[in-house]
This record gives sequence, C-alpha cells and structure tokens, in this order.
Amino acid sequence: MRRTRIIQAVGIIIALALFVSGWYTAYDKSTDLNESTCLGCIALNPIVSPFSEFWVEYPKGYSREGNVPHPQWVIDELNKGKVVMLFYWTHGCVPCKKQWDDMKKAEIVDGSESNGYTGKRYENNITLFSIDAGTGEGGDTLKIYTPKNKEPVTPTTVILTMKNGSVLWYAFQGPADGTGGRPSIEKLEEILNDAIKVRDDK
Amino acid sequence: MICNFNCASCPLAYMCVPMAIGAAVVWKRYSSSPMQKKRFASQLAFLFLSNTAFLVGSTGFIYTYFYCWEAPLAAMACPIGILEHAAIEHSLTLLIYLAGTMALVSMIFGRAACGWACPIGFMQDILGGKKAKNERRKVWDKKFRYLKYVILILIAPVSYITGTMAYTNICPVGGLTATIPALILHPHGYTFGTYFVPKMTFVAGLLVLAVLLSRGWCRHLCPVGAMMAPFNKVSLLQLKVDMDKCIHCGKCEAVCPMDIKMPEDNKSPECIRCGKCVSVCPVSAIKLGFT
Repeated sequence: MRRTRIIQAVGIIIALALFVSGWYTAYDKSTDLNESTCLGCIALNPIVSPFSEFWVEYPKGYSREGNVPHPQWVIDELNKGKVVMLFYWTHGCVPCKKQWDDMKKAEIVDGSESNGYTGKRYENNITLFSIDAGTGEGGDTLKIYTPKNKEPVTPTTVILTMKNGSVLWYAFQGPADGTGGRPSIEKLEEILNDAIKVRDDK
Repeated sequence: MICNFNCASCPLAYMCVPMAIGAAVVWKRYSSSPMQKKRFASQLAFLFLSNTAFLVGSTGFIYTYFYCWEAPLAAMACPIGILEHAAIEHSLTLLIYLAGTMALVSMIFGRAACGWACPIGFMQDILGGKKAKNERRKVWDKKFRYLKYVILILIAPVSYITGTMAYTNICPVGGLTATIPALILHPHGYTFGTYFVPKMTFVAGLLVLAVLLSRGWCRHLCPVGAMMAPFNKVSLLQLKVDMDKCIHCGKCEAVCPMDIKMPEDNKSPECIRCGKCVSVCPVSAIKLGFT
C-alpha cells in the first residue's frame, strides 16, 4: 500500500512537471496546428471559385470587405518589381507535399517546403515564400487570404502582383490538381505568367 | 472552426442532436443506477465540451480521449495528431506536452476518460455491441487486445520515417467526426482527396465493430486508450473490491462491457471505469473511488 502511494505521488509529480513545461513551451504551437485545417486529415479538398481575373479588394465571399491588409514584407517584395507567390503548408500534409512536388517538377519552385525557393524558370520574376502555417506568424498571414465562413486551410496558394501602385492578387485553397475549380499546375503557370505580364504592362 | 451563429449550418445540429436523441432512446440502459445516470450526463457533457469552438475558438489543449481536431467545432487538439506532428517535426516540446497531458489525467483517473468522456465510447455505448460470449471468441478477443498497443507504438516511427500523418490520413474517428460532418454541412463544397476511400472504409469498419462487439474499438484498436491503459495499475481512481463481501455471483463479469475477469482483475489495463460492475453488485462489494 505504501509502495503504491509512493508510485502515485512520484507519478503525479512527474506528470505535472511534464504537463506544465509542455504547456509553457508547446501550447502556442498546438493552437496553431489546431487552427489550420489539415485537408489530408479529412481526406477532402475544397471546391473553389475558378480564376477569372486578379482581385484588388476582397472579392465576394471573403471574410472582409474593402482593402486587403497585405503583410508589409509582401508589399516590400512587390515594390522591388517582383511577382510574389505565397505557398502555405503544414508538416505531414499530403496534398501540400503533392502540390509542392508537382510545382517542383514544373520548375516553378525548388528545394523543400521548409526551405523552398523559386524554381529556375521563374527565378528572375517571382519571389516565393513557402510558409509553415503551423507557426504563429505563418498562420496569422494565412487568415488574411482565407474566404468567409471557411477555416484556414493548407495548402493555400496566393499569387500577388502590382500594377500602378495597386496590389492585384488571387488565392485558392486546396491542391493545384485541376479539380473542384482549382487550377491544375499548367493553369497555375498560366496565372503566374499573367501576373508577370500584368506587372510588365505599362 | 469558429461558429458563425448560422444555426442551419451548425454541426451541433447534425452530430450532437442525433447522438442525444440516440442516447435518449437508450436511456433505459443508463437509468439502472445513479452512477450510470451520472455517467450518461458526463458523456453528454463531454460531447458538448468537445465541440465548443463556437464559444472558445480553437485552443491548444489536447483531448484526453479520441476526438478529431478537424471536427467542425472541435475546440482542442487530437492526441494522435500531436504525436504525429511531434514525430514529423522532431518536436520534443510537443511530445512532452502530450506525454504530460495524458500522464497527468491518466495518473488521476486511469482509463476513466474512455468510459465517462470519450464521444466515440459514447457512440459505442449507444450502438450497444454484444459481449464476447463463446470461448473461441474470447480467445481471439484476448489476442487482439494487443493490437492497439502495436498501432500506438508504430504511429510515431511511421510518421517520422515517411514524413506524413500516416495514421491520421486513414483515421476512422476523423472520418466519422470531421469528414462526414464536413460533407453534410457543405455537400457541394468538397472533392474527394487521396485517402477518402480508405478512410471511409475504416469508418464502416469502426461502425460494424461497434455493433458486433461491445466497445470493440476501445478493446482492440484505440491508440489513445492504449496510451492510458498502463496507468490503470497505479491511478488514483480505482475499482476497489471487498473480497470478504464478495459472493462470487458473477454479475460484475457478466455486465462488464470490456469483458474483464471480475472481481479478480479489478486493476486491468482494459478497465474503463464505467462502474457497471459497481451498479450491479448485489452486496456492494465493488466501489469506484480515489485511493
């Protein structure tokens, strides 16, 4: 009986210590992971509005109206004359990995999701930000580009370009596989080329 | 995962209400004793608490039972999802957080979360599967109980090696509590992903198992139950048996949903602390309480 009590006391102290230290160091990470929808987990991909033209303000169906609060680091990059592509992913996300591999094959991107950069074909025109949505900052900026009544989802792809000082953008949730209104990789390339063309048009 | 106060699209209406109606239908099973009534109230309360993102948002706390963090109103994180992320991202802090949460709750309550809180356990109670009665079935039942430990042990290494959430991709609990509600809420909102068919196959398997065998998922396959099971030996909450009072009538063993050999094996890792044996004992020889 005495032995059991000692085991219980030691066990609870160790468990409490683990819980408190874990809570202190990993609670925010756990929240970030919980806030972003893992499409692989639900084995579904969202149907999205097909690309027709770049948006300036929030389009119909988005969570906010009017001007989009693009992050400053995106604006800075656009001011350098680059087209910006944001690719939001999370660790273990099957559709994210699939899209990344497809984009890599098409030389749109290179490297890995966690250390990605623009692929050969677009390195002079496009700046890629491959962002882990499971981190605080990544998750926060993803919310800017999340449609109304929907949760932040990975993968989400955002393409931004600038014309006459206005930021034009287009975003879609789910993998670029050509189904559910989402562009295929070929269509994604067309959109990227359009973004470059828009930027170059005087 | 936040509620937009649009009741027509509220997952509570699609998930919790049918389960509550189902529970009301089987109320007779619970109304046998005050303890079972309390357990029924607890299961209903935890079903609601598991879906409170419309009140508190998505928090970083971890469910200490099996529930999917992609369920439309899930407020907490899935323990298996956290384990997989810890393995994929080589995150020791996530692993410590998970271990601390599960160990703390299990040190206090043992596997009581399975019997008193888990919505999947509640669903199995409602579906009311049969006990393993004949000897052959009992032998197989005993062998397959180790399967959940094998699954638990494999989850982290497989995720570490493959870099994917291998278990989550085919998890039937996610299919039942996240995929199906998502399709009900937005019937034209999704296309099927790569793992849709295997996931739904496992959902069907889970439901069939729940109907065929009492607490079949908890017995054989639940990796969260496997995390908590070893703590049953030392937890503060215990089934205490007064052998001087016991008349060996066998009623406790006959009523046990996990087919535990009662009253001898009262510290079994399989015990979900449901208290059915307590309720049925004619001489009050079994008590559920803190040591």
